[in-house]
Amino acid sequence: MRSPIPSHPKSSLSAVTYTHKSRLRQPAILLQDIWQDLLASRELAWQLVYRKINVRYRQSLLGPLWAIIPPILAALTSRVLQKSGVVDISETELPYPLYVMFATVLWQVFSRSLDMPLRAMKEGMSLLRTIQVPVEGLMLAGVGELLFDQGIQLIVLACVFLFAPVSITWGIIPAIGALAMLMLLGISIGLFLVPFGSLYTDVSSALPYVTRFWFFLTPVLYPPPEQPPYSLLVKLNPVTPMLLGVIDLTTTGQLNDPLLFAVVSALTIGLFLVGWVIYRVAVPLLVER
Amino acid sequence: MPSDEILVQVNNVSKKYCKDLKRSLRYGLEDLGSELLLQGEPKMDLRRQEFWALQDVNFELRRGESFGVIGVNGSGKTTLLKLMQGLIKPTTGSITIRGKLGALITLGAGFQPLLTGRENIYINAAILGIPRRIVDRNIGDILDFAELGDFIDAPVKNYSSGMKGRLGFSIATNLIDPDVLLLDEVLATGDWKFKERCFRRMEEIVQSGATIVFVSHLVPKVEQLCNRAILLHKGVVKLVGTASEVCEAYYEMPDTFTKGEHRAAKRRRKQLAVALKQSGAEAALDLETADDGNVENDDDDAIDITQVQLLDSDGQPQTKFASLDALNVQIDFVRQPQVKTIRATIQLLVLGDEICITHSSHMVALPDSPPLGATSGQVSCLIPKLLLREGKYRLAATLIVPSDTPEASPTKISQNVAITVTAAEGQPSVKTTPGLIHLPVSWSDRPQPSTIAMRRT
Repeated sequence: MRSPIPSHPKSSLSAVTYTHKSRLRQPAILLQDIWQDLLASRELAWQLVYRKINVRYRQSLLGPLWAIIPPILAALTSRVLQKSGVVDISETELPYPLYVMFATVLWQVFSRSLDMPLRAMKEGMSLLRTIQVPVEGLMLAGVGELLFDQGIQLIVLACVFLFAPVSITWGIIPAIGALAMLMLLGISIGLFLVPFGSLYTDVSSALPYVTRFWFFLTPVLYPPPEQPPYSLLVKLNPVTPMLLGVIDLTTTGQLNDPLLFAVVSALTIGLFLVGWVIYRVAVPLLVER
Repeated sequence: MPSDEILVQVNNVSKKYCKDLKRSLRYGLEDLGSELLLQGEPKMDLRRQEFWALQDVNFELRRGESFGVIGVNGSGKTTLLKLMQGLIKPTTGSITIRGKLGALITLGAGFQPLLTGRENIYINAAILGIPRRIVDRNIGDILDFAELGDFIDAPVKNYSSGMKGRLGFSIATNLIDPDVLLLDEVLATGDWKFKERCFRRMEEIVQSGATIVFVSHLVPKVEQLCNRAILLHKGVVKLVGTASEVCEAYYEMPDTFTKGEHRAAKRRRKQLAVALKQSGAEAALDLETADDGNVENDDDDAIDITQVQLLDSDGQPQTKFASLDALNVQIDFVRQPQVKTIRATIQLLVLGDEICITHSSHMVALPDSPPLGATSGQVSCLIPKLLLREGKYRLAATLIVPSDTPEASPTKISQNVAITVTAAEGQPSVKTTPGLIHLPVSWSDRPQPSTIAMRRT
């Protein structure tokens, strides 16, 4: 929809043209635009994150404590469940409560990444309707907010690990990369939800239920099962290799299933790029509805 | 001064919308599908419930030009602005913008109520795409213009709407430096003092050499600020031309200014006029009972205007007058016996904008009337020379009955008539310059004797 046209002979100004034609017809220009907007929107993203986080804790007594309460509660709950014998949990590499705490934080990284694009779009819609803002800024701000929240949780987790009788390996450095992949997986799927989800509220209504179901298909409260069919079900879940990858790298320094991890990562990157282009092309069509 | 560098090109732009929400959402998905499948040809047929919000708009703007966009609500002005900003895609056609585009359309976009005014300056600036260092450099000017004093460090949720508007306007106008500026007149908010400053600032921007697109209802402002204009009506371009020409055409549009008079009041007036023509007081008495039992406020019944007529120098009713013609306004009314004095006023107003050009008022002592029933009366006002320039105006005739006690409010009744003024003899018939008043001046291209010399002669 936007494309540079040859400038007026006397004009040194850059020009943009808006037409009815599909922007996908000029993919090189589209990608260039996306890249430029991404660079230009850093300031905007920073300000939006500042606004969001500042406001969130300005009217709260406990403030940022709210970021660490969920993983601690999850770990306590699982401990109680294990002790009471209600659920039968096999031994894990990590002490079980630590495993649950770690996996919960990681699951939250994924589920919030999944939720983020649609949420950012909805919050930014009133802006997009009235003023020209780079949509990349909205996404970047979403990522920033996510990093802030989950970052606090990860710091808490790191503190717990320091005092727990577990060994941390140098694998923690590649684990950060795996964590980024986990986030990217969530965002990629989330990006595909934006076009339909911005038009119909059904998507955001269904999302919590889907996420909850997905949660139980992922080894968060239990270690990965060994026997089929459950092992297969959990294995087909793309979140599993990512989540376990982060945990394995941190605790043992290597991946249990490097091939699967590589395949899912490659798919994630491909999915992300396609999702972003569709999202970008869709925005003006969504704004008018 | 406009140069020959074209900054804005709008070619055959059309846009369709859907009235029905559910359908609109479905069409949205369809459009997205065809966008992704690269189906490039525009669909010119309207799907169910669709309509053209904008049809076949064409214009070009050069550097330094200021271009007015006028039209009644729902004529497509907002759609045009959105298309020019690239917020939405045109259904057909293309829009090219050269250089940096700025938009002063909504103020204070993204203001967060819990944050302070100062914090919001940076957020709003980031949304407008302005780097922080430029904000830091201009923060003094922003604060000066917004005149918020200590309130700048209070949360924005405690601001009045006027204060928010002031801050938003100040941020936007102090920070943007565009080649093409989209400007909406509703921005000038707040009290008259600030409004005046807003308009002065807008004029400064116009004079700075940017190309301006000015959307407005205030036709005189368009005439003053713009050199060319476009008139939109129901999405169709009615006229593109000089600002004065287009503003004239705006007033000429049918059905634009028929104000919905209260139906019951209209019917009552009609009955009164008919009855009075038959025979004064007697018929008026009958009317009291003929009023369908709709007992209205006593004060409303104390006086009523039956007819306002515009008479020319021959005493003939007219609606069209030339500048400098004589005009006699004749107000017929009926009154109840308790009404002893009235104040009659006439006002000439610009259509729609409610700008009062002249006002004339006169106290009338009425003769005694029989103690029962309504009697008719008449006041007239002679304007020996109509000093209005060509155009359409509204003449409002008002009768006021002063109240007996200082606490009670006076009774007021008024009626409007449309009046068309054509150019005075010897003047060009099409209005090419702005202005409302015709001053009967004489021009000379020879040196004039000094004023003292003139006084002596």
